[in-house]
Amino acid sequence: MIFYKYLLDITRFNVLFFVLVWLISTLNIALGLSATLGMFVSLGVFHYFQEIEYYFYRNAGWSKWALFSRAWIINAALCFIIYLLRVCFTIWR
Amino acid sequence: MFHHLEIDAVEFRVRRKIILKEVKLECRTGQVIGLLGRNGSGKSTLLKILFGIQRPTMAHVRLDGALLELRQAHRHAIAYSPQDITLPKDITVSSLVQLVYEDALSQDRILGTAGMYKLVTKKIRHLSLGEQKYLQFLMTIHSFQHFILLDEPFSMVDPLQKENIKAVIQEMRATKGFIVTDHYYRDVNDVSDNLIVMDMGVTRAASTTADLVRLGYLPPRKP
Repeated sequence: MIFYKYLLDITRFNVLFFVLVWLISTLNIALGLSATLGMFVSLGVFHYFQEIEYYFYRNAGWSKWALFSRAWIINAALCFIIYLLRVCFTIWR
Repeated sequence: MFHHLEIDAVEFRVRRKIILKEVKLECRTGQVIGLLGRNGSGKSTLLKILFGIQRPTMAHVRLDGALLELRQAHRHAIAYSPQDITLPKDITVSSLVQLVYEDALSQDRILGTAGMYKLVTKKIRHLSLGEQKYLQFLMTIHSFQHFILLDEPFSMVDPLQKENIKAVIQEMRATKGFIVTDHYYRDVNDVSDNLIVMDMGVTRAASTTADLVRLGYLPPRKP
């Protein structure tokens, strides 16, 4: 359960990154960058504002790497699903 | 269940400066070790090494006789409450406790502790520093690990909470071992079975106030 708190925090930053990129480019580029660079940006922002919380997560049994790798996989999967939905929608239309 | 943590020959250097050398400690379930030392003596560094977030130059740590990989120590062996507040701030006390402890018994043990009932609906950021520190202490001490490292648990908390902290440590020592460090040495002494003084990166045993003076932790008494 505690992982979802971290996932929510880091995804919040990634969504913001996604919206900003989408505003200045296309949806596909925004999705691609959010699934890759966006996660590193989110990690950097989390480090800057909430790095000390890693102690809390570690006490709950979660290392920094375990948290980030899982959050990355889930974010990348979400971006891919949105991309697929977009492709399906384009074909259907 | 009984567990035994043996810390032997921990060494930590930053470039050529020796921060820790020949650090030896033992802690068993049911035991509270008081770790004292002047500022910069390496107490917090030692705790961070044991928690696996500071890589030592050398360390031999055994849990129940088997070599303990410190980077994995948080998974079952060691929990750590640092000096600073590490709890997420944008969540209520009850939600945070429910998020970490899924069983109702653990939730009740934390939320039912003296001084907690009035805080449950508040967000962490709205608690005072002392209340945050107390909550952090409770959440660490009720974690699943066998050994608990407490860095300055008596700092920033009021006298009543200090007594609560001491009572909870006494209650939980039946199943856990503790290493406690703080500059409130009288409080540390109250809860500890053994006192260890860190001086110039080396651990030395102490049992009386005279020992603390002899080891340079306390000033000599004026005649």
